[in-house]
Amino acid sequence: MNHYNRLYQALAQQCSEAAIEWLKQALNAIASESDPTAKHQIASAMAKRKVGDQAVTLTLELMGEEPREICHWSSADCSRILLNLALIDTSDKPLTSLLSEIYAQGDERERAALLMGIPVLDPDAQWLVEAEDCCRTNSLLLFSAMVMHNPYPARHFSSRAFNQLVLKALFLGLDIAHIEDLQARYNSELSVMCADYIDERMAANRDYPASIWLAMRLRDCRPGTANLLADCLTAQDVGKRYYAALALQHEPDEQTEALQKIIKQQAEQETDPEVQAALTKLIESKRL
Amino acid sequence: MNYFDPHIHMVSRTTDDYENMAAAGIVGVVEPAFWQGQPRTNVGSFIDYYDLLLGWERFRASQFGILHYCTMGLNPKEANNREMARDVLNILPRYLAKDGVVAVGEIGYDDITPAEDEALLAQMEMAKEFELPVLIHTPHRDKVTGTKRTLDAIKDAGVAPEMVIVDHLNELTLPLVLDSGVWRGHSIYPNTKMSEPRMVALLQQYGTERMVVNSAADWGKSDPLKVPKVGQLMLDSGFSEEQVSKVLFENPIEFYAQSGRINLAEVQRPKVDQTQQWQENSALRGQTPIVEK
Ligand SMILES: [Zn+2]
Repeated sequence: MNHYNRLYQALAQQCSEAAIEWLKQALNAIASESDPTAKHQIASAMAKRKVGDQAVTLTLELMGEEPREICHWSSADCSRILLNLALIDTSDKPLTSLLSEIYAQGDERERAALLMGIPVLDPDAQWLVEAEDCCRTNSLLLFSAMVMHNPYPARHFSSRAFNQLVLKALFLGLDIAHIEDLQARYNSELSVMCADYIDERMAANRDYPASIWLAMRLRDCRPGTANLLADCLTAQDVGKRYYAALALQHEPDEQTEALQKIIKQQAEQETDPEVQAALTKLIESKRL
Repeated sequence: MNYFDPHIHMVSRTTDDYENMAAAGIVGVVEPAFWQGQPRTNVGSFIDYYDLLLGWERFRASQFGILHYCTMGLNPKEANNREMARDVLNILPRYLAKDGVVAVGEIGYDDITPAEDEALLAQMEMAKEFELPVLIHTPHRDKVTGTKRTLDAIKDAGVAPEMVIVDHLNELTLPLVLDSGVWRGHSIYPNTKMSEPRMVALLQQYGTERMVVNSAADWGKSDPLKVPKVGQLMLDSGFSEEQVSKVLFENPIEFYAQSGRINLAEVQRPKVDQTQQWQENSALRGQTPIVEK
């Protein structure tokens, strides 16, 4: 089943009859009328009020990957992605100009739907330059839509654009554990950028984001960084402890005796079950 | 006390204003599309302006915990540029369909010309089509004639009076609209329009039913804190907190709620720090939701 049918089916099963009736008419109008763009504009704008904004669950194969369950797209998002697919189907304009037009004319939520659905709408990354440009937004919603739980950036973005995206996510206070394939796209440049960011924050007497360690490897950082990471393992903040343990799982190199000792000590006295689980996994996987 | 400013042009205000407004209890605003102090020369300028109201200004307000809604329309001054007006009216429907748009407006008369008549009528038709309320301003000059003409136009267009607010009313024009069933808007604007004591006197004389107060603050000498200032004077003059809340919070929201795109509960809901929520709910819990909507 293609994306269009899967989206439609998920909505049909999870939305009211009136909502689906409206959606069906809108999709037909886009497919059959002489000015599909105008029909699409109005339908897309009204979709949230007509179809609602409740959670929807569906299974999709994004960009040829294994099928995955998606549950962070609402019924409004799904409808808008569907309406976009319908317009792409009928219009004789090139995909890139069509996507740019839809993006330009959408409000924040419509734009967010386009960005969340970009693996469906543009699997071959014809719109890549524009997609990278969208990350310049000041909107947390738009940025999250492109960056969090979205396989498109890791698959298509240049290293430079990908690194910028990671740093901006940290900057905005987002948890970079939700960036897909972060580990696969890791590069030493990322460590340098993140280490600089930690320095900058500490120089200003401010804390740095706990998840930042996920984008760093000790071998690419200057000496002394390991001590900072060790401090996080025993920090008061549970997030700091959790991400330090998680990051160490991704470390390719064997840890120093001193660090190994701290890990084992912490595992004995850790009170948070999730941090405890991460430490146990770390100890097992690294055979400490 | 929670306040709502139902008519304010935030694009021309500073972040200090936003900060002071939030501190004074203003939790939400409606920004009507209007002119920019000088005439625009093409439809593209309107597109960028409308997008600014829906996008950037909404974001700016959210930084201060203030909910930002807008109304969309072609103002009468620029309706007199007929060619451009036609282009603007053509793109207007796609904006009227948007979620953050809670009315058509501000429209109405300026010099009361045939071109203004046409634009007003065309936009009231659109309001009916999109089931939106209408914000109509009354002209600065020849105000009594303008107000009467406005009421006739509403009747001619067949728009239900409860779907209309007639704005910038004063001691002379408020009595004219009392029997028509429209909502009554008052702009507390230094020097021209109304002052706080005059407003309180009108409330004492005419009651609180369908009465709405705004600052209409814009790029001119104006004051974005006029709504809370009226609230304070109402309290000082013996009005109850319930009455203040009715006029300065519930009435305007109830009017715009007829769009189906805003309601009291939504405006009263406490704000959440989106990244914080993300962090707390999903970081350690491993769940999926993307930023609260
Ligand atoms: Zn105004």
